[in-house]
This record gives sequence, structure tokens and C-alpha cells, in this order.
Amino acid sequence: MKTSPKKLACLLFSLYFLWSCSTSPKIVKVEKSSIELNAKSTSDSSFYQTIAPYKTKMDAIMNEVLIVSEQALLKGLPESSLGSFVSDAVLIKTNERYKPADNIPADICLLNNGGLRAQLPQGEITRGKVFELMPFENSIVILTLSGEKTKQLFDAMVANNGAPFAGATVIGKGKKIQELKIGGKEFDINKTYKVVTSDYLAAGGDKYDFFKNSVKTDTLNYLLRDAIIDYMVDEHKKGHTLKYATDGRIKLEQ
Amino acid sequence: MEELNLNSRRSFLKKSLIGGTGILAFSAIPNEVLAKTDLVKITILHTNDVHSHIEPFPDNDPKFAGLGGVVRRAALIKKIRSEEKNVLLLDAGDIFQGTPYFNLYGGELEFKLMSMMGYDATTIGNHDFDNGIDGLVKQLHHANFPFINCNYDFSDTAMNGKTIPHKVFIKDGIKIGVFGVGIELDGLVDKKMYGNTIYLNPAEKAAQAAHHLKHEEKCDLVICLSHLGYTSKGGKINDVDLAKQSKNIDLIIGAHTHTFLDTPLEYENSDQKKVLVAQVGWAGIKLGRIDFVFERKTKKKASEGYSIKISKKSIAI
Repeated sequence: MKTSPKKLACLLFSLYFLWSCSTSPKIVKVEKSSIELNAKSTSDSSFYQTIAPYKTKMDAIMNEVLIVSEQALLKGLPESSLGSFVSDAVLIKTNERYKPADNIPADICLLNNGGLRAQLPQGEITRGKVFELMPFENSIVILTLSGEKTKQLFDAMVANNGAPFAGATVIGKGKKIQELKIGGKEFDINKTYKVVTSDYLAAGGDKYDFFKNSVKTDTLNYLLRDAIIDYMVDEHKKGHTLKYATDGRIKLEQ
Repeated sequence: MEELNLNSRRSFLKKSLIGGTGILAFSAIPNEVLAKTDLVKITILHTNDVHSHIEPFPDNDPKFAGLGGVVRRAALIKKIRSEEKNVLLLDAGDIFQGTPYFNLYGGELEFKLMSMMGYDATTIGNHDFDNGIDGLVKQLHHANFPFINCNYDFSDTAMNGKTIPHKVFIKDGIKIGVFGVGIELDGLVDKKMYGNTIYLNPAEKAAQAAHHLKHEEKCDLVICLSHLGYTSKGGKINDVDLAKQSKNIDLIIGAHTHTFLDTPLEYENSDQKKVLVAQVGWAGIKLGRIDFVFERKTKKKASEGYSIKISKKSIAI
């Protein structure tokens, strides 16, 4: 069989085509940067029109000033002004509403540092700011824990360099508990304790495994965020401002 | 029109040279020169963890006073698009949750604005489940860009068929493969929110997706949109691990840990090739930018070469 010139040309063309495809483009230079958006940046005003109707409605609700804070409340570990404030407020507001059959109020509140999503500025605190701090639709639950589980809770807290909590004082050394008082009294492993937390954490969020198999779980149809807002509103009505600093409720030594 | 573009590019170049910032200095390689020397510039812009931050932080914010804001990001993106031909705008997830815009409107405005800014793709972060699978599905029609993820099996959820594992973008003949990976949801997101979403091993799925894009789709650049985090706890995989284990990824655009990397960091993959890991903090405070310059045979030259060869050989035969 003879190969026609036409066929050969086709073959050669195909070979060349394959060869030319195999020379893939190569990266010869990479330039990397990140650009901050700040007051000097220009704005695309056309976007305001889209945002405006949403913003107007939102601002009407969110710009309400709830209270004045004497100082910025900041996040941090092992203890922070923000973590202590939120935990205290949640524990207080929970116990105001919590009416269990045994009439025993909650002892402590434990939250998670990651769940505090914004810090609070010095000065006027708006409803919107609390939404930023606690944006999640998480509800309050009260777990009754055995003494053993309660100890695991504080073991984990000490081992993990603290967490936002209220109702107890802890001294830790070398990642071990040295001293633990709940409600001002020595911790007793033979007692049960009631812990206020969020439904998210109670369900095992943030690997709070000590919350599993609680003796009892009580739910309040009450959002964490609403508890914080109610606390601010009530304090403001009493003519109070927020004065929060760390108070040494947890002390960790190496 | 082309002339006008060139002119505006030239005037931009002058300005940028005078401005002399690190970002703009690159543009000292004029685009006109690129065309002659068969260089193609691909500009990747990226955000992560914007968390419903539509407006800049208020002036009394303890840490980020006055920073961020969609109107500024939109203007910057528009400007870069006017200067560069081949722009890809990507997000690495956690679009939702963080301001009352989300509490009141469920992410509707976030998606609308991203669509207006011309986002090309995003992946899914853990907070994008914060109103449940149904809450995410409900807002999808406001987004005109794809949701890319290859390690969440949504087949038994309302998200079924609403994500794609990867996508190939072609810019000026350069093929850019983009895939996405998400973080383990158990212990991070309430089960009732993610429902029957099945989490698959991100390293394995990433390796498959990257191999497919590089070797089957023949992509020139493979980008991973990752919501795994720059660092991780408890032995879970993060972007650095992924970069080191990988074979076919050129760039990981990260998220989740809100890590401010001024510029992407370089790691060596398992074939001793470079992988970039990027992340620009959170809340739309910064826009990340990476320009890749490719050298290649331009299409025009290749076709000239072909016609000459054929004619010569044809005559010889």
C-alpha cells in the first residue's frame, strides 16, 4: 500500500501539532501582594444603592445604644474581660429565668473563646455590636454534671489555657488543677454541679466532651445573645455602666 | 478600543511607577511587552472569611477601626480589572455570619454584592452552614458564581447538585483549574445544621481533583480553594500539610483561621515543586493579589509554524 503525500502531510501535521501542544506554558514570574482597604481607598458608589435598603432597615434596629462601657472588652486567654463579662451576664440572666423543680440554681457558666466573635469597644455599645459579638442563634442549656465530669471540665480548661467562664475560681500549675472553688466553696467530687452553656457546646461543639452523658439537661428557650442584651438593658436601667476587667478567676502557672 | 486600553494602561503604568508601591511595581512589565515576548499575565484576586462584613469596621473598633468595606473592595477590583486582562476573583468560604446583615437577611446581600463584584467562584466554609443546609440553598439564587467543593458529599441533602467539584477557567489561552476543599464539620458545626452532608478525606479528594485538573484537563495553573485553615489542632489537616503532601497544586487560597499573611508563603510539595499558600485575614479587610506570568508559544506563532512546515514537507514528498 502506498502512502499518499496527502496522508503523510496529515501525519506530519499531527505529529507537529502534538509536539506544539506538549510545550505547555511555564510560570516565569510570580508577584504576590495583599492590599488593605482603608479610609484612603476609593469607593464604588454604585454599590451604595444596592446596600441602602438593607442598611436602613437594619440600622433602625441595630443602632440602639444598650449601655456604655468604661473600657474596651477584649478577648483573650486564659482570662479576658470580654469572656468574664459574657459568662457572668449569661449566668445571672439564666438564673433569673431558670425555675427547676429542685429549685437549685446553676453554679457555673462555661462558654468558648472561639464563640466570642467580636470585641466590645469603649463607649456606647449598640444592639448591633452584641449581634457581632454573639451572632449565632444558640440557645442556653443547663447541664447537671457529675462531680467527675465537672472535674474533667476544669481539667480541660486548665490544659487548654483557659476559657470564658463564671461562678468558679481555678488555680492551675503545669496543666493540672491546684485549687478549684465553685461558688466560693471547695470543689466536691461527690456533688453534682449545674453548668450553663450553649446548645452548640452541649452537643459536643468545640470538643467539649465532658458535656456528654450529663445527669440532666434543662433547656431555656432563651438565646445566649438575648441574655447578653437583657443584661445590658437592665444594667443601663439601673443607671450602671459596664466596668469590666479581668479579676484573676483563673491563674495558670507553668 | 484596544488603543484606548493601551493608552490607559500606559498612563496607569506611569502613575504606578510614581506611586512606587510594592503591589504596583510589578506593572513595570508593560503589557505591550508581554504580548511581544509571549508572556501572559494571570491575576488572581482573593478573599476569605468575609463573614457578612459589608461595611467597614466602625471607628471605635478596638482592632480594625475603619478597615474593610464592600464599596472599597468593589472599586479596587474594578480598577484592577481595568488594568489587567486576565483576572480571576475567588473566595475561600465563610461568606456568612458575623454582622446583623446575616441575622436579618440570611446572606442574601452578601451573595448579591459578590455577584456584582464579579466573583468567579467560592468554596464553602463551616459558617456557611449557620442557617442550616436549607438556609444556604435558599440564598443560592442570589449568587451568579459557582460553589466549588470536592470533599462534601451532599447527595442526601438539599444541596445535592448545587455544587461542582472543580472548574476550568480559560484566560487568554491559559487553563486555570480551580477546586475546593472543606473542613470536617463534626464538632465544629451542629449536626442539625449540616444534616446528611458526608465529609470525605480532603487530602485524598484534593489529590484526585488536582491530578485530574493538571493531567487530564491539562491545566497550566491549579488552584485549591481551602477552608481547612492555615494551622489546625488535634492532628487535622491544614493548608501547610496539604501543600507539602500535594503534587499538582500551584496555589492554595486558604481560610478559616483568619490568618493575615501579607503575601503568600512558599512550601515544597512532595515532588519538590513550589506551592503557594495564601490567606488574607478576614472581614474583607484585605484583598489578596497574585500575578502569575506565563511564558509560552503564542497561538499566532504556533499556527505560523505549522503552515510553513506542512508546505515544505508537502513539496518534498
